[in-house]
Amino acid sequence: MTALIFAGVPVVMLALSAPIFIVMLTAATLGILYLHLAPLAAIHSAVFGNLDSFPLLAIPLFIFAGEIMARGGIARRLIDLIFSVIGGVRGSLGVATVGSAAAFGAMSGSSVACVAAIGKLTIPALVKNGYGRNFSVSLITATGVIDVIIPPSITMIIYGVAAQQSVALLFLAGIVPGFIIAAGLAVYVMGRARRLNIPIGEKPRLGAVLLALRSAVWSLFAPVLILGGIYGGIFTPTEAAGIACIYALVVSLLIYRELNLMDVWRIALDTSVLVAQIMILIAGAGAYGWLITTSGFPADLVGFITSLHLDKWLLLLVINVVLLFIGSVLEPPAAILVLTPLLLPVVTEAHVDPIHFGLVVTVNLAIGMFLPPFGLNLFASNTLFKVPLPILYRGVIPFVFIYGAVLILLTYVPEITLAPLNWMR
Amino acid sequence: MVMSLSPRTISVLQRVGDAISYVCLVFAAIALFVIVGICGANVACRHFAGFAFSWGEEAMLFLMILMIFAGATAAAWQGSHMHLDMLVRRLPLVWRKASIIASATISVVLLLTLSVASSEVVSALYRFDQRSVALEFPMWIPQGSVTAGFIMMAVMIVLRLVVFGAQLPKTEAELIEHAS
Repeated sequence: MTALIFAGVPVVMLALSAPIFIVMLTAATLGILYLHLAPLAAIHSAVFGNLDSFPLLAIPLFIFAGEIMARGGIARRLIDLIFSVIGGVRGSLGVATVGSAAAFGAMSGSSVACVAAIGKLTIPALVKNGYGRNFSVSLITATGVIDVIIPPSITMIIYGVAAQQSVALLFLAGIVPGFIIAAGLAVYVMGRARRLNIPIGEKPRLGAVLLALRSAVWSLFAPVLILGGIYGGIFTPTEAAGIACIYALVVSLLIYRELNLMDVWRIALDTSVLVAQIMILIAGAGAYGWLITTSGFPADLVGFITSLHLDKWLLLLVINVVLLFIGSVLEPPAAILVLTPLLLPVVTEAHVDPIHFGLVVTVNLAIGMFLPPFGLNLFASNTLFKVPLPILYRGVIPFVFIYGAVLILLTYVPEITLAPLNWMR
Repeated sequence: MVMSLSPRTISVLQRVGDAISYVCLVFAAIALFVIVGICGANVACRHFAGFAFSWGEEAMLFLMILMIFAGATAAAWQGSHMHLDMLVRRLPLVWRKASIIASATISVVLLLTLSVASSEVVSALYRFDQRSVALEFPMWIPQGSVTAGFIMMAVMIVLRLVVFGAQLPKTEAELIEHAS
């Protein structure tokens, strides 16, 4: 009966397309009523208590900052700079697309928005250069998820809160994997361009680079301010998010003048919905996670898995497969909130560093977003660029392998994520 | 239910839904701006004036909770809460409608049940006049936004079902495509 409440009911309700936070609250309510662990009012306390957390404040603030940067010209100038710098090699346009997706993704909170914005900007040029429409759309579909890995990442903040780990350390741990994935994608795109015999692009012209650099100086300073402020000990990640909002507002309103007050108001309204969609999940997960923990289920799970005497590598492999599957059907915030209370005790028992595990989870869920057949970005690209799903499924396979290779490296070589942390400590 | 209402009534109900949703979003957006303001002022005061607002953290958290439930009310009206619709979209129309109605019914019953339980906590906080540590703000107000949020979401789900019928909301990509 307990398994039915914790797993059966949620699966049926998810299939009925019930909102995910309702699914979690229903499971928590049924669990309380069946197990008689507490009065129903405990759900209220779990919901409020889970939201009443200072690190969580970073989520609305980073989303707001990202939306202003994406619409206020900050992201676009950074993209222009990347396009002006990368040239003179075969596949430079594809590489610049990867770089742009990484830059835009780091600023925008939505992977689908990243696919839409970068795709509309670059796909016509990629097609014109001979990359082919199907490959171009597949490239955008796969690179659009890089925002989940490159800090500041909303997914990492949620993991940090769910696992009670430092968000600043998670951001730091995400830098190297983000660069490795971007580099892997760039190398693949260059190889593909060579196979397609795509002509070598124009060499970067110093004048154009300087012009783009001058225009993008304020854009370049945004990540410096955010990450420099956090690691320089000037402010916490939450405060960095607030400062990023103010910086983005000042630059977009007063320096670039691409937004007016009415635009900012509209962005704030849009952000409010986006924030609510994510944060209400955290509220629901608070109740669900509390009940799961109180029921002793994680301890039983740890006991069961320990009794199997699995090697650490095998345990991590099984967890990776589970995460990939869950990540392809659930959005990263929901997946993290549901799985962290279950998986963290298991991996902690196996002496896996929680920060390292956070990155493993994050990369898995990023891959899940474009993993056939259910990845969210596949449906987004299908709608936005009218490429049939079966073609997209085939198109993203090479990218699944690239991300997968990095995932394996990351899973079994924890130094990739932990070395910058040790260096920082 | 939908069949028995005249188009005029449905149009009025849609305007009501839009208005409630907009008011909630206005509250949420104002809360967001105030949070940004407090956060920036706190950092500036700490570095340049040597003091920080002891109440800043509490105020920002209470505003965030208000913002979440106000935004969630608007999201309930838009039908944009995160959900998994890839299976339902492939069902025959009758089954699709049935599953949407079932999901809405479960949501409304659950939210109303939880709002009753939640109101017990809030009324206890009000009776004992419990206040926050730094801001000394009555705790029933921020905690009451949870109760109000549950009720408002239930209302908006019913209103949405009446106005739009058993339809799936547009996906994010469809909305972006429509906007462009």
